[in-house]
Amino acid sequence: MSPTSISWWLYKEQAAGKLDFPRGYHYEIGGRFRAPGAGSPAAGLEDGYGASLKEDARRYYGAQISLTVRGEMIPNADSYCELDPAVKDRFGLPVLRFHWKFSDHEYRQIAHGIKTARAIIEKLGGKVLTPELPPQKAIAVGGWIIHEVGTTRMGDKPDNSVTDSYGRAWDVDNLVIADGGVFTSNAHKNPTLTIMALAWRSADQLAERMRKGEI
Amino acid sequence: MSISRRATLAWVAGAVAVGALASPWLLDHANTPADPHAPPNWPKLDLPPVTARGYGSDPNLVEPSVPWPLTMTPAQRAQAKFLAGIILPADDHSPSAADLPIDAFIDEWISAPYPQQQEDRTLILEGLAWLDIESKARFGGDFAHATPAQRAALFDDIAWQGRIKPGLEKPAHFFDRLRSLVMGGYYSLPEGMKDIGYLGNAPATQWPGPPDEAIAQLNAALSGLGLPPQKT
Ligand SMILES: Cc1cc2nc3c(=O)[nH]c(=O)nc-3n(C[C@H](O)[C@H](O)[C@H](O)COP(=O)(O)OP(=O)(O)OC[C@H]3O[C@@H](n4cnc5c(N)ncnc54)[C@H](O)[C@@H]3O)c2cc1C
Repeated sequence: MSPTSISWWLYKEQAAGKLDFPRGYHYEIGGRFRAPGAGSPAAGLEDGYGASLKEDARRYYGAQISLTVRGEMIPNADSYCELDPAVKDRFGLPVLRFHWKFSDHEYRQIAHGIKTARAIIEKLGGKVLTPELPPQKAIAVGGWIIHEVGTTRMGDKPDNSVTDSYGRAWDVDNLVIADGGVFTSNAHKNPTLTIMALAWRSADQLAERMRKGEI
Repeated sequence: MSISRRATLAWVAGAVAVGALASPWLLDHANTPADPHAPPNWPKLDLPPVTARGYGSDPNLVEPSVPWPLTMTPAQRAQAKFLAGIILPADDHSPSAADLPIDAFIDEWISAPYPQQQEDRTLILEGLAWLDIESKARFGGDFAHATPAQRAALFDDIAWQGRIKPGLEKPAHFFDRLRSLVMGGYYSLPEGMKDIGYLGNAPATQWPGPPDEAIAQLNAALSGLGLPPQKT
């Protein structure tokens, strides 16, 4: 794998309302040599047997790349967590229960991403090995990319958010949430640097308030 | 570079298993369904289960060893060797797979106590038995004693995607898996690595920078965008 990616590029089209999904995605580019055979993604190209198979092994060795769509998930009313009415942890406290559903936004975005990726490979003169799947099948299950954020989202009003823009809980004055929970949507970028920047900002404000004797 | 067969094997099995777990998409490329319909003469072998220990969670990677015993019979090993030679024959670049210990690789693979290897074991051993059953029915003798033309006729029914003879999907699945294993073993040996030009990790004492052609191509693209060129 290489640390390269193709950044989102359709800002103008998005602003002009030409896309059938909101926000954007990027591609992670993968590629390595990989020995032929056992477990190799070239398996679909290495066909038959004999002299031509040896030719295939030489021809396709190191000749593959992969493009993975990483898109922004838009928050929706079907994805949330709540206190579980029945299950409790060992301290007798209710655990969280999660609800999860993709919406058409994600499916349309994935469909766009897949179509474009296939076109890129074909333009490069390549052959697409991945079977064509509907977006509902092609999308990874929620949480697969291990970049879960949100649930204590920040906002400008207590009625649609848990904290203010400094991660300060609306309901508890001296509680500051300084982690991925305050994200308002799951942007397709890796979250850690933003989590840290927001935590820094929250800590600065907290220190300032303490200095002023507010808490 | 000369890594002992045993060491290479230990390394390959580990790398492949980890790769498969870490990147499930690798498995998406299987071209045959997991359990395609078997022909009526497909044998069901009653194999004693492999109960050996695996590597465990902290194997010695400096002096790798394989803790499980091999389970193939000498006849199965001979058959695997023979088939390996047909799948990857000698050419100007590299020797026949029959002249390298590919049968040992397959034996070690399918004797391993892990679920994927155990699935492979059933498929491979039943497939080897099926080849002889089918040969006898078609040509009156074992596969190894059939003529090259007879063998080719049989292989051509199961070896090529999109040309699999209807009803022989399971044997084709077996062949696909056998081919993967033969290739996996072959191209992890020094002879196979040399054939495809695998260099491995080589220390670089200096970085010569990108080649002139690459710079020229980049600069053409940059000038098309009205941007200043990169210096070599
Ligand atoms: C394998 C993997 C790879 C990743 N790679 C990247 C990457 O390359 N780039 C990137 O930007 N992001 C990456 N991420 C995502 C990133 O690591 C997380 O989004 C980020 O670390 C989350 O930070 P956080 O502070 O919100 O939560 P966490 O770092 O999860 O912190 C939560 C903390 O709360 C503690 N805790 C839980 N319950 C209690 C309790 N009851 N009492 C007290 N403490 C408790 C936990 O022990 C933990 O320390 C990756 C994630 C994973 C899992």
